[in-house]
Amino acid sequence: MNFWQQFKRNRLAVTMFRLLLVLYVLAILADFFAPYHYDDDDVMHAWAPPTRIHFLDIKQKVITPYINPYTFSTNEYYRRIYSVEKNVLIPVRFFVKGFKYNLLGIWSTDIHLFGVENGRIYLLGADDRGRDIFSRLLYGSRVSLSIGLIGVAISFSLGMIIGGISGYFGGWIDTFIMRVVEMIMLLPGFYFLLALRASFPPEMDSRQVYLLIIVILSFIGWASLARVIRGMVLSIKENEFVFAARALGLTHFRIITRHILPNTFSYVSVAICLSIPGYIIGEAALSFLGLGIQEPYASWGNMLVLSQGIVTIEAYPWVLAPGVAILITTMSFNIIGNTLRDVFDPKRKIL
Amino acid sequence: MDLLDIQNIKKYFKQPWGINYALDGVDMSIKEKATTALVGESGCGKTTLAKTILGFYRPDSGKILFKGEDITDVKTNNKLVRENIQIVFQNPFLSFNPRYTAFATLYEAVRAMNNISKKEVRGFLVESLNSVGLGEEFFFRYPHQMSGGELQRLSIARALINKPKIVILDEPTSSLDISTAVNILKLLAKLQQEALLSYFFISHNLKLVKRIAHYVFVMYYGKIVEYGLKEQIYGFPRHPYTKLLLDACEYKMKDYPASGSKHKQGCVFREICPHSKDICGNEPEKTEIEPNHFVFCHFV
Repeated sequence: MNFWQQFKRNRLAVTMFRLLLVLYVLAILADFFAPYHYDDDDVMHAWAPPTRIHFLDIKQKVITPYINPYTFSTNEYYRRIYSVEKNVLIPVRFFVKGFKYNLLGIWSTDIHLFGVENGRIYLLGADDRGRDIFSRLLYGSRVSLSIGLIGVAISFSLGMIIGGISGYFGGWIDTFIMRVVEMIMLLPGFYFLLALRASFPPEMDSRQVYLLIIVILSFIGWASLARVIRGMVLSIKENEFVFAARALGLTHFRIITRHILPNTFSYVSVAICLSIPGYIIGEAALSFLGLGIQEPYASWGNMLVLSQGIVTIEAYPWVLAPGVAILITTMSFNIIGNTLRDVFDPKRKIL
Repeated sequence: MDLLDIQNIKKYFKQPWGINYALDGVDMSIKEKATTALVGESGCGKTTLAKTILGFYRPDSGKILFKGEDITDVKTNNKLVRENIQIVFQNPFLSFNPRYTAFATLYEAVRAMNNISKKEVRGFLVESLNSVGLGEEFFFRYPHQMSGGELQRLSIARALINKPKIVILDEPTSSLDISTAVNILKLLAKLQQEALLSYFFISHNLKLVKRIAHYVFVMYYGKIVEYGLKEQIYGFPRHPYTKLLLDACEYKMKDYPASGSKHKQGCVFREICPHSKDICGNEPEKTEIEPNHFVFCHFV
């Protein structure tokens, strides 16, 4: 029975896996699925609540979905109170023309999955400048979903190779590497992140900031993993199959990569899935503090800046949508991680 | 000339409680196309010697010669050692990478020496499985799906696949039940005749050794105490430790403390030996009492 068949037995994990797949597809094709550009603002719709889409007309007959346009009045606190004009129907169109973009960076097109020709559609409400939170969520997921994968890829390949070398060769190599690891682990992670970020110019391009965050997070992340891997390698290398591999004349590199490190996969697969949320949250925390991705670019972290005041949350609870997205993503990775741990354990493969 | 010559090998391990004289001047030779057995109790340095021959430990002093070529430092003659000396381990359950099927294990072994693709090698691997009495149905089984005896057969197949000259058998039967052990021994004897192998058979079980060995070396805490042809050792044991081992097979042995030798100088067995005298504090001479039969004792 292969890994995938075993994995499929856990319904929850499969659901979460599919959910993540959907999220990743949405992130990759964000231009197509988003009705508006991430910086497309409309002051007349600031703080607009989520739009209700109607499928039935007044006589309860199914017609093409439509929305009603917003109007607003201000209350005594100068807060906008939105209402809808019930007698004006704006049909929701599929594959409508919108802003121009390059699909997957190849095809230049302006077709979007859905949209309205006049008025505005806000699936998850609008933010303070009348930008569509749903669109920004999609664009933000590009940052938040990729930062975990890239960060984990860098830090885990570093951690596994360095930990593997340290444990396998032992001696002064081991001592040296472990002292370096301890020095890195001594750094208080988040404050180190803040200090490093602060030492770079604040007007940096968002793409540079994005790469910088990945590098900083991976640089902190590999050390603790290398330490655990080194411990596991120390015990695995005393197994007789490693001696047999050495007697056969396999190279050290092959023994480490093919015979020792794969036997740490049950741990590593869990650790990967459990540390991806760390990267997502790390980026979100930086952006939340205004040190990460800068406006007008979207990331789940800097979208949450809006929810810093309890008054805002109380009045416009839809600004928490990125928080829910973070919660769902991190939970998915955790659940998948736990399932993978069971699947990767070769001794459990009895059925 | 002997196939493998081990000359005065010393290997000490520094421990917090003192030095462990794991190998203290071991002289041995392994004859071609014959089985040389090394007998001794647990912890006396048998496995250390095997690992030293394979270059996993670097000896503190001494020389190991394979057909006259120095292989003490494995790095200089790596290819020669890997092609000619292979090992079968004691515990079949730890001898295999749990992520590799039988096929992958054997292919990895072939691939280490030659560069062949998986398709070309398949027939060869089936043959090698059959030669150790395993059918094709074991090809895609993982180690945890096989029994100890089957794994030990696979281990032998892996050791023999690159046609080595010497196979070190590090207690290959001691974690198997007696009927499986006898089967494995028969298989080993058959393979030896077919491929003209030399075995270096490490064991603590003198009864099993009697079945398979041609030459027997008796080791006690880092030193060889007696060696000779099988008939000589079993027929006329001269060293008190050899006698004790033979008695142990019949459950006639008296109790004695299972502590290692703490002495660098003198006879290693003198604390337990019933004939021990002051003279045993001196290094015993190697005495040839018959042709090929040597004893390290003051009283022969």
